[in-house]
Amino acid sequence: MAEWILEASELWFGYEEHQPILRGVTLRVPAGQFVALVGANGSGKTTLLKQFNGLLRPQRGQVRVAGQDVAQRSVGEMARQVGYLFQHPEQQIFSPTVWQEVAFGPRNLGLPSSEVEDRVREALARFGLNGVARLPPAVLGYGVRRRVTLASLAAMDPPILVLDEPTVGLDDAGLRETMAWIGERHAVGRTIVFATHEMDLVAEYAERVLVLHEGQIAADGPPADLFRQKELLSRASLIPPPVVLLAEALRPYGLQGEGLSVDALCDEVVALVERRS
Amino acid sequence: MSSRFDFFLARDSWLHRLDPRVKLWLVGLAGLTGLIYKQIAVLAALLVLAHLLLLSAQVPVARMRWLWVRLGPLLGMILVLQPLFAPGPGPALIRLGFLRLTVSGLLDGVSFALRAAALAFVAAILFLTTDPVRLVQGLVRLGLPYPWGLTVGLAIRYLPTTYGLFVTISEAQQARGWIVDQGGLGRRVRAYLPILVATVIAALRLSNNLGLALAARGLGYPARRTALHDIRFTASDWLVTALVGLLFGAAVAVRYGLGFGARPW
Amino acid sequence: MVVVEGVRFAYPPLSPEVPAPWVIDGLELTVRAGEWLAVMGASDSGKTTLCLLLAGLAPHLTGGEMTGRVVIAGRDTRHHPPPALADTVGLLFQEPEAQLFNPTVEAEVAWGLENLGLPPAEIRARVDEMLALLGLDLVRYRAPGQLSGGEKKRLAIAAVLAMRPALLVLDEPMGGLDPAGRAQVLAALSDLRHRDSATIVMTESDPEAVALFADRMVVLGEGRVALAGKPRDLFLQLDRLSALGVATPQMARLATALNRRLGTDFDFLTVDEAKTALGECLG
Repeated sequence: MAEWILEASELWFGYEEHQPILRGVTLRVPAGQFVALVGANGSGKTTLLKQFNGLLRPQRGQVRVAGQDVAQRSVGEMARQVGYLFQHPEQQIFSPTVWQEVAFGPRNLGLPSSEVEDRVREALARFGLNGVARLPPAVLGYGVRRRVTLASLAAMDPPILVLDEPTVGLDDAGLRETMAWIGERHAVGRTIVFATHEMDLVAEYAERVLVLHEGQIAADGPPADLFRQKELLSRASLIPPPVVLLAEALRPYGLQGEGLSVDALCDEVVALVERRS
Repeated sequence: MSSRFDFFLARDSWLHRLDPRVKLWLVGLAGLTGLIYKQIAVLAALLVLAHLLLLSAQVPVARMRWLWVRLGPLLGMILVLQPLFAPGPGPALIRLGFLRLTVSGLLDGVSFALRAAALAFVAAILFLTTDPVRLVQGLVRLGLPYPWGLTVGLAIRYLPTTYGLFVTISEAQQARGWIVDQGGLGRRVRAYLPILVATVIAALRLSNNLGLALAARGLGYPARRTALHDIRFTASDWLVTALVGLLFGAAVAVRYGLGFGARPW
Repeated sequence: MVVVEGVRFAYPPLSPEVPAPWVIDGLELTVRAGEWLAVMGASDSGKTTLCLLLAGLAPHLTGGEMTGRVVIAGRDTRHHPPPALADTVGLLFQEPEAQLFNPTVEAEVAWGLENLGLPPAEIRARVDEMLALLGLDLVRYRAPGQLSGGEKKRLAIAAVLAMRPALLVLDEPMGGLDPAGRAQVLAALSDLRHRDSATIVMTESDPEAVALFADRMVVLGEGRVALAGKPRDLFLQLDRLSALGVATPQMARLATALNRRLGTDFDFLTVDEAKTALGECLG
């Protein structure tokens, strides 16, 4: 077992000649970490994520997954280790029924058919899809199709999950359900890398946040540290969540402002008020 | 994503400024020339001419290389299959069962491949240098109703998008453990079929939404459509039209008057 | 400006044996001129269908069954098909990026105006105005595909606004944008509001944006209005909103939590409001 489950060193990549999107990205992720990848639209988040399962290949530098160079291996082989969630359900559902869609991945893993069936059944149940298992995905609503893509990933249960804006277009219930599932996977030791614009999710879930800016990792650390770097935040067009902004504004009144969630801030304010009276 | 697959290259060159109707005329007649000649030298000259025109329109060499790479498999197939399956008369160079390889067959293959390449690059002149809006205006001026003209413009705009959808969906399959270069033809076809279906569904969804958007933005509004920048024939447009007509006339005269160029060599 | 009366709507059924469900089921809604109304609700609650109904696209182009009536600026959508309504209702679709089909930014904005048959001088004037208003002057001759996410969204808005609709309907205008892009779009909309006192109906799932800008909000549930009122009154009803699948602003959750623990009656929704209220309390 390698020390780092994901590694990129001096990674360069661009779609057009002389227009690099990634300009020397270097990062290391230990197994089991929950990492958020943030950055403006067009900063190259998707371009970076696609390097981890070989959908894109470095033009310079190297990407290693569990110690092995990705360059030598096909996307199909990589899928055993890296589960990848694309941004739009439209672009990743291709089977005639929901059941077949969820079974596609486990079948490719070469599992015995009884095991495939068990996994599909479990994944469908987990995402409340039993009722639509025999339907074509195209007739389902956006939220349900998003659940189909999550179930497809869950049925493969890879050690690394690379998720490209998994919560876009979801309503509140869908968002909480999705994050709960990702949290569960993390709790059983899976490595999570997710790209997002939602700073409240970063604050609530991520152990570590990477800021992609002008093709490089411009910041790397716990969310609380990032939210203190004002100048960098504005350069990378990031805005901390409201609780963080409020906690800062209340520092002059003696608030520590360490918490990143509504509950934590509430506790701090209550403590402060009680101390005063 | 879409811009990566777009055809049109915005530049300021004489070909870009040319009236789209003149370009249709140029491309049409150049294409016809390619079809009436089998002569390898003439077809090669046409291909070279198309490259020179593209270069004069500031089309980067990389884009031409891109087109060659795309054409590669087709050209290779013509070069191999044409001589094998239509060997033509003459002594056999090699015999392999019922297959014969002859000099005339080989020359035919070269001629057909050159013709395909020449036609592709001639068509590229139109698509790479013509602003789709102007192309649609040109077609409408030539008598096509606006919605039909718009359909042509939209097809050009969304063909690359549809190709992009296909690529992404096939990537999604691989991302769930599908190994592409493995197994026989049947297995590959079985994998491609669902991608095709999914692409068609995604494209239908897109075009359905696009139809709604076009109506919401007034396509079919009860008024005569106007244009911010209308196209107009200039002196240089007339000049090019006449020049192209003359060259084509000469090409026809040489081909049918003198009977030159009916054979590859 | 907008009157929706007793509207039920169902899309055409997928197969003849199975009747399609009513996506909109007894909707009543009025919007005053100059109002900024936010429409919230779980996915599949009928938000997008409402947008299509307001533009007359449903049922004219979608097919399906409709009862009741939708009247925009005095025009009943049953009698005015969508192209004819194009000068009255402007609709920004979800993910409008996919619907930018012109080769340049300028051509994209001009396209709808050309459909209206306006003289070229008028088109030019309106294109100039819209590009300036939405901060797109510098990218006028660029291809829409090369713009950033926020720029594309603003371009789509410019193309709709140039037609000077009495009512602007926006379906998830902030979807998929980064915080800077969202700020750009909101600033442009807010400018527009002050300049032309435009009427805006906007479906939105980001509660922070609604709290900052909307005058009034409605929450859809099962195809009808489940809750309606000012954001300040509704966002503090956390449980009811949560049951309807609607997210709430962090500050509203904080206010509610503090009220429960301290017996206060905070009703702040934004960071600025919270700062003032808590500053007074602590200061």
